Amino acid sequence: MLSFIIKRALEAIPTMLVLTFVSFMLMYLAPGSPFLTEKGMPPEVLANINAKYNLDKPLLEQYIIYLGNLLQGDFGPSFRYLDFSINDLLWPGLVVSATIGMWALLFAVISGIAMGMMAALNRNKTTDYSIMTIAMLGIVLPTFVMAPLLVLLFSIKLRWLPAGGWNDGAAQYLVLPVIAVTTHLVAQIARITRGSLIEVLNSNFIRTAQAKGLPFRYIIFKHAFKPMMLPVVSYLGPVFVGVLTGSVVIDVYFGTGGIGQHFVNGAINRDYSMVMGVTVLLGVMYIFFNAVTDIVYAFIDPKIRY
Amino acid sequence: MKKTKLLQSMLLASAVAASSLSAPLMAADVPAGTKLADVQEFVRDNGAEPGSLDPQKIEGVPGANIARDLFEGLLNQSRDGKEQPGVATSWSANADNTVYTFNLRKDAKWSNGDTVTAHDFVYAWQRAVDPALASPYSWYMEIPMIVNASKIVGGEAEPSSLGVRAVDDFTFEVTLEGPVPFFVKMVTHTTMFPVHKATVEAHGDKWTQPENIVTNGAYTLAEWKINERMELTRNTNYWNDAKTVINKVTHLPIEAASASLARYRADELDFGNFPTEQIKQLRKEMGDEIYITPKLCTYYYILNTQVAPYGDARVRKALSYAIDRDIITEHITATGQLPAYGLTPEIIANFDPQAPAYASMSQADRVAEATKLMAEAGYSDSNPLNINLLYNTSEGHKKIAIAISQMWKKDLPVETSLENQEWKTYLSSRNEGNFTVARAGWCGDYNEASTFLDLMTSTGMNDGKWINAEYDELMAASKTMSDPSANYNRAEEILAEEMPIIPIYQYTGVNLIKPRVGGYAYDNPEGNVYSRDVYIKAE
Amino acid sequence: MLFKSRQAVSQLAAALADNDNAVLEGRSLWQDARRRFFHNKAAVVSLFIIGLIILFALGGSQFAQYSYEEIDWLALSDPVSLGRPSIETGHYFGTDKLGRDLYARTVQGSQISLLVGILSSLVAILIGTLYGAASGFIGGRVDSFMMRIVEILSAMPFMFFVIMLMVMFGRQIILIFVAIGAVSWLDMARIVRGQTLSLKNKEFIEAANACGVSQWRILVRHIVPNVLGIVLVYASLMIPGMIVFESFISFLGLGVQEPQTSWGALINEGVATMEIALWQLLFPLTFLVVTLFCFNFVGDGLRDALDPKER
Repeated sequence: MLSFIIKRALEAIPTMLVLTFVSFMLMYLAPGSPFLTEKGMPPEVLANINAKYNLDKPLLEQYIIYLGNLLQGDFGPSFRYLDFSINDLLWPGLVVSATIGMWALLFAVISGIAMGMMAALNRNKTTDYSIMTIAMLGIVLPTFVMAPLLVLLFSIKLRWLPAGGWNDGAAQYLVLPVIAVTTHLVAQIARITRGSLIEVLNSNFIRTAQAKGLPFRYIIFKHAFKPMMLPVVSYLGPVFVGVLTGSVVIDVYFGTGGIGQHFVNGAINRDYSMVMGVTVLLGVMYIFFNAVTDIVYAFIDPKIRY
Repeated sequence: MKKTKLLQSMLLASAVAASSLSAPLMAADVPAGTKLADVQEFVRDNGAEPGSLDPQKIEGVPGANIARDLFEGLLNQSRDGKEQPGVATSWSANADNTVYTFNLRKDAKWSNGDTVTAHDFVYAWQRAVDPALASPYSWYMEIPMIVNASKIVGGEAEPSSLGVRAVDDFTFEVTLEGPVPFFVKMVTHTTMFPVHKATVEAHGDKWTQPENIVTNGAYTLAEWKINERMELTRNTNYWNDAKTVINKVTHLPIEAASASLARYRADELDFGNFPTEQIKQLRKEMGDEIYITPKLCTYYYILNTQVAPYGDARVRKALSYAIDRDIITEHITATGQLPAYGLTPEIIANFDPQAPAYASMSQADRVAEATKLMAEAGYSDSNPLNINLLYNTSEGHKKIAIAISQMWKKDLPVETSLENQEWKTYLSSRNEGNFTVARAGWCGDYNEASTFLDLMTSTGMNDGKWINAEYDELMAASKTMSDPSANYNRAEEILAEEMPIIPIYQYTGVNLIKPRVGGYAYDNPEGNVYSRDVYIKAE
Repeated sequence: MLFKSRQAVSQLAAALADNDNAVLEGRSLWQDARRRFFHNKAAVVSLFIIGLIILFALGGSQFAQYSYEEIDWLALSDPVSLGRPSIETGHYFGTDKLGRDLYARTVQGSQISLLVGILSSLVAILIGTLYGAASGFIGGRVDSFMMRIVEILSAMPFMFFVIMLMVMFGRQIILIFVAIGAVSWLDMARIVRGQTLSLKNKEFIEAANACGVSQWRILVRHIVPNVLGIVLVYASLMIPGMIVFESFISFLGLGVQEPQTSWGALINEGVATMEIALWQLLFPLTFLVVTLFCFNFVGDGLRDALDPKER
């Protein structure tokens, strides 16, 4: 186990190096710069700013300076929010996005697995089709349609829930964003569960168990559940990272202040250090969650041992 | 993004000599008999997250809106845009208008209880030009020609050599290199607001964080969650706190107009915005909550005269004439905008722009003239002109570009391809002359025609690189004239003859304000509003 | 562009048809699969509907009374009442808020969305299959090196790449799907590699090896046809994903250039006016929703049909 973790950590180093280098170059090569304004600044003012943010140095040197600071845990100053360092901005944004993401994932996993199992056990019957149709509505309705619809119904017409804001994660502010993200995830999880359970039910060890005359319910939860979960678990690791970045629609529409908006606005405003910060954070999280997924996998699947 | 441009204007002072005001002080001016609500909280959509709350670093409307609540400069603006006593109660100038003396009130306090002194202003103003701070607005200090400002920004002199001085704790003196008549108007702007030296020095870039900040305005910062909300609470040390009604101001950085409208309708905002296509519906639903006011801004297209065939004035004029501006203002922008035929908006102070000849032609005549000009320039249906029209990503710009491209296509031998680029790429294309026709807009930096007309001089923000010696001379000469109207009119005439830019419409500001809000200065010409003037009526 | 995109879609459809005949016939594995697929009613109906939507995209403009870019100046003056869907005015789907015919625009948007979905998936699958098959088949150090690269690339935020590519190379539609395709082949590569690896050790491959069949022949005759099933399933699920991603890009304002449009762009505009002109949302949204549903059902059907466990 320990050697597995060390191996993963060592593998992460070249990944992060390539990741930071490519993103850095891509970002800096994009047209425009963080301090480009419509009126244009007098050259001496621009020179002062460039000097302050090291933008006057050669690109490679800037990258090395950035890497050096990064190793000390310093993501650098924001080019867009001058009163903040990226460290100040990333963590609160991450907390917001992770809170929404975690609740959404929790509800999606519970309801997705339940729906998927029900569909699989009633395969090709009306129950199956209607469950999968409802689940799929969540996938096919884009979030930017779902969010305004939810607001129209629950905030403007019914006046039950606030139309936006975060207020430190107060429950009523969480509901609509979480619903909007959950509906998007449920369908995927339900589909994967359905497919997986069907496959497991057709496998020899289940047939053996059935032949032995064990009760069906017992077979499902004692024998089939764990192997059924394998593909679901491997789906969840990367998807969590995806939920964080994909939340930009939620952030823009509900004004939650999550990391997705930071990321997209950072790219569009050429806030170099913000984009780099989010990229590094997501990269690390991707590696981390993949490792966690593998470990969880090992617990479920007796065939894998580290 | 679109709001980063600064609107704060400096109305050209007509009378600049010694003045001392006896006008009523601005504060929440609640009419007698108004029943106030128990909860005095004001929630407004501020359009975007400000880049900074440091007065010397602020660039753009969202930051300025908040800074006016947090800080108070030497002077404030009244509802109709006139200057009013702020920290200074009176001021005077010497005979040749180069030395200004401001007398500060003795009861002005910082939120930590310290007295606001002339030294705070000296520190703030020196800071604004200090290369070490690298303020994106340091150029603002160069405009009124404060002694040594340009040299300091350029790194040739020490910040301490700036022409500002605290004669004593309550007397602040500014020395200019030349008589700039509108200087007094400029001090209502955030760049010239004071900052608390000890706080700034103790916390560096982080002094504006809620736990550190010390302010001298009616409010102080309680909470700042980027992209979510900013909460301001009452500064009980503010000298005019007794006249302030609102206890808590919340600024929300809502970028999407549709989200703003949703939250306004869910009753979460007192002051909001909406997508313009909803105007007809909203007029029916909440007509008395819509406020439309003219803005000091012009929307236009730039033609790149360095690229063929846009060096040909006939082509430029034809393209301009074929645009039916009434359709655009009535059906597309549809919120009270006026068609523009010249660069300077009609509401500009101290100048009454003459409409150019083509403004009074009928659209049919203009199209006929345009057709003729295009034919003369050698274009026909078998040899059409292919235009690439550049605009920055925005629903509004997109709609106008589509309509104009179709107007050209309908009446002229022109095929247009549209190119939409996001803000920074668009700016870089414009700066580098990488366009043929590009959307542009300009809001006055101050309420005087030169802020518009100077754009088209050979040294102005003239991305189309149009050069006209007579125009340059007219504008240079106007600087020292007591009434430059004749020069301005001639300059506009040249623009109409040469058409280096195609004026399209004059902006309006459009907002939703709840009926319960009182005292909101929606008619301030530059949109400068102080939350301390506002009060919430009982419903 | 219009012509080109239409051509591309029809070429693709033709290519798929050819492929069907070539591969499916004479192989019991594929015959089995086909039989199973056609027994799945949902999948068959979905396939039929997708066919109709492709027909609509290709030939729908024949019935349009307006071009997709021209403004009906009368409707522009009051799109909410004059732009309603109506047979009389010729605006079957009404107009958008600029008075442009929504029917013609939906046809045009369908072309773009389908093109983006199909071609970006094609790019991704081509790269992914080749890369994965090569990696798995060659094996050894080359394999682990190639897979490390995939690992590294997967850690990069996909969205950032797409945004930066859009920003740097403008908004040509060609680049949109090349860009999207070029960064989404990673999963495909992994799946195909895994499949190839497991096939390599199967008895029938070993038998072929023992009989002295050339490596190339083994790859073409045995590995590729066996991997094809999973590729097909993956493709049918990737296309709707790409269509959704395009709509997200449109939401950010980085999508196709006007006057061209896509379902995503139309829906995004429609959402803003859904309370005053619902049809502007409803028509494009219906097309998107139905298409995504159908692709999903077809994907499920294919997976069930091609699943080796079912045999």
